[in-house]
Amino acid sequence: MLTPAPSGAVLWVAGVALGTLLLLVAADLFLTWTGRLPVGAWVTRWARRYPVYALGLTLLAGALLGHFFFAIG
Amino acid sequence: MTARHLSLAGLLAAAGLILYGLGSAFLYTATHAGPPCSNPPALNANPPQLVVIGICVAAFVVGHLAARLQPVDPQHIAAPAAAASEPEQRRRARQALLIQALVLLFLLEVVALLLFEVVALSSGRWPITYYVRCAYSAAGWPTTLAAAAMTFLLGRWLWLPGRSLADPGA
Repeated sequence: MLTPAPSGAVLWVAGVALGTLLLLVAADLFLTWTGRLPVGAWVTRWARRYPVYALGLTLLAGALLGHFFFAIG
Repeated sequence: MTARHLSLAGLLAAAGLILYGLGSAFLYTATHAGPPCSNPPALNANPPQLVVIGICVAAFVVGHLAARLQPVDPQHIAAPAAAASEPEQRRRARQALLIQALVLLFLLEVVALLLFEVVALSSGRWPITYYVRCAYSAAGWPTTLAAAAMTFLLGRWLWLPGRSLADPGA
């Protein structure tokens, strides 16, 4: 039977991942508050400029989400 | 309520929910020795999985609509590249560098997550899925709301709008 990892390691991973998300939210709040182009618009422009790279990252992100959140076993 | 207000309220709510989830995890870990669920974590909890999925899909759509309908100050909409002055082109280069840095950060985090997963599975530890399932099993509604906050952000950032909205200056 699998056992939980040390709690410090889990919190470190969760803290870094969610901390980055919170940084992006703060940036998006600032951009929205000041009427500038939001984060999504920058991502869209970048994806349209580098479509193959964006497609690769999308596939990677989808595979990770499926692996982490769609386990039914 | 305008789309801008909806965006601001959604972003603040998402930040609050993620902070609450992170804070709860830290607090629980600091005060308890073991995980708050069975081993392996149960697959079903309250709310049912289909309700969770429905809430997340709705949050994804709301996130997209909030960003899509959000007005942008015309002075921040760039002119076409051909008509841009030299300072404007330098400013765009700096912005492009920032986006590339964010992509690099994303990839580094992916590597870190995969390393964690490889080490965990090779040493008989829980994979990341189990921690998500454990949070859902122990605190169904808070976990559902945190998941909805993340899908709101995904819909806001990654669901591409039409070309005219994405690049109004083009």
